[in-house]
Amino acid sequence: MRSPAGYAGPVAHWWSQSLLYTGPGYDWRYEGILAGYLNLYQATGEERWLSKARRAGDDLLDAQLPDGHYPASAFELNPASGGTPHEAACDLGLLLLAHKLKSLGDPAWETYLDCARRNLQKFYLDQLWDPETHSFRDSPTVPSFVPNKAATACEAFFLLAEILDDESWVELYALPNLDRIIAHQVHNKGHLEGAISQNSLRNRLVEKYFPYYIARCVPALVRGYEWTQDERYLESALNAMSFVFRWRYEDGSFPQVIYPNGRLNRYPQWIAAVGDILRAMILLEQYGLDVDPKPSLDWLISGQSPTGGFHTAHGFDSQVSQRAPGIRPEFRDLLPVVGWNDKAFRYLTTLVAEDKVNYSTTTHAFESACTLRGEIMNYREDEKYIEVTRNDNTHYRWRKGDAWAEIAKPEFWLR
Amino acid sequence: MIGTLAVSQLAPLEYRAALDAAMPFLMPDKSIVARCAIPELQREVSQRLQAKPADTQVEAALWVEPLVQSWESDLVELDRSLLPGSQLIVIASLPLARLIPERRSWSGDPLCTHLGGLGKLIQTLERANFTPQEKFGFHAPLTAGLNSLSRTLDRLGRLDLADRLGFAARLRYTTAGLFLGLSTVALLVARKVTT
Repeated sequence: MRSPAGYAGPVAHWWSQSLLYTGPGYDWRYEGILAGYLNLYQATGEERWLSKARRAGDDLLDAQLPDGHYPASAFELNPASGGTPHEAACDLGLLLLAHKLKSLGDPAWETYLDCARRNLQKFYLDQLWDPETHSFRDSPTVPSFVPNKAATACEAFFLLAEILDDESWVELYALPNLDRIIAHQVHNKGHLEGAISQNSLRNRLVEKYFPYYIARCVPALVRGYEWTQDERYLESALNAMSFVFRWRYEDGSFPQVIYPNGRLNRYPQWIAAVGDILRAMILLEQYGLDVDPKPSLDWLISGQSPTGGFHTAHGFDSQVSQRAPGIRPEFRDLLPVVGWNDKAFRYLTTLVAEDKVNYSTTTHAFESACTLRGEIMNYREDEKYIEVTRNDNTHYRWRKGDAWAEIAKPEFWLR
Repeated sequence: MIGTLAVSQLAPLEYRAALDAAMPFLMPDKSIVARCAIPELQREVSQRLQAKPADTQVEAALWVEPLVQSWESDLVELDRSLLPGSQLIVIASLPLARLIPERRSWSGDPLCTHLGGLGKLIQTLERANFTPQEKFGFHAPLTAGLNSLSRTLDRLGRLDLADRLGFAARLRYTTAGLFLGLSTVALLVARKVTT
């Protein structure tokens, strides 16, 4: 999935898709890629992993725009810049790299730090910081707050403070955002206890509870506790993950979203992204969270294709009906979206030192029947293409490395 | 450079969807000329493709928002710059695009926002030796209806159903045929006849 300028490919998401723009995306995929390669370097001491982390960092250095933004940083909304939490996630990845290089005495650390700091200043502080609510907006023009996105920015500010040995970044920006995240958490007893609302818009709370996004809040809350020893942050993190695991199915999967009326929309269920839920779980193990990761690890691993990529989801075809998916996966289920695979990669690389996962570097082409809009098609991925055919006619083809799909019939113009 | 326009400055979805859909027709490896008379959409065009100057003949052209005052002379220029057999992709606002709040402050008087404008454009293309091959509408009327119902359910507290209807609306965002004229934006694919 690597193109000359960075990690590329189509994107499938709950809200929207980017199936036609397939060029490099400088978005949250770089958080997991950078962290994952650094995990491998940490575990093995092999220089090649650090080199790959540097190459990913260099992608961001080369791509950064004069205004501090990263181009094509909006993931499912691409092409566009100013994506959230994506630019903060890039910064977080860069800061992880800078932190490691600094510890190794490599002077290049400052270059990566400067890149991240430029974006944090020009975008997060100059455009998104809301002095009235002491938190980051989701848009420069609309009063809004998205807990999981703010959490990603918080993680970047914690790391910036640590690298620069300047706690003001935490005091001024990270902790007030964490407090607002806690204010979005459900505290009453009941089926939603511990859940964190997806967002608020113009002070109206949007009461949708996504287990995946709730788990994305946890690393920042844990960091807040470790930084301050304030029990509120740890309690919030533990309650959040208790909520997430209360809703886990026997097969280790999670529903997509739960609503206040107790109803839920189960499909599509994330596969590759479950890596982030498992990572949050591991962070809380030491603080008493007692859940068995195995069902979810099995769910994740079962979604790996012979190409090495992890499938995006199970049940995109049921997004409207919410009936149990048919036997054939939907096209978007099968896509090895880099911005989801980085989550699996990052988590799995934390297991390498403990040798809990057997891995192979041998990959093969992958072919499967799939559906889209009720039509049965054939999906094929190899080193050069992702291609979908029906009755020997090509309906979709992305030549890896190209910025746009080469062939896309109208049913693939999904947004 | 691709992807440089900030999310907060993006054009309405129907324009972005139409421009994205145009890209496979223009790629890969083709020499392209692009003409866009509306600055608000020029930024969207620029963040997708780097077109060549129009002083050499090219293999494909993207024509965004033909305007009443200039469309005929633009077509003459595009015809001159295109090699025989080349594709011309036209993206045009239709009459219902006048209802899109974001575009009320836009400049220009788009040809196809007038009743019969798209038909007039197609007839003129045919007379100029372009063969219309396919046409599509974005933000189809069924999408608008489903979105409206989705918002109602949201207000009634049925967020679960509101979300599902929103996705049903997205699945029907693109249309062809009967309801094309009731969409907000059209995509027209034409080929310059080989002489």
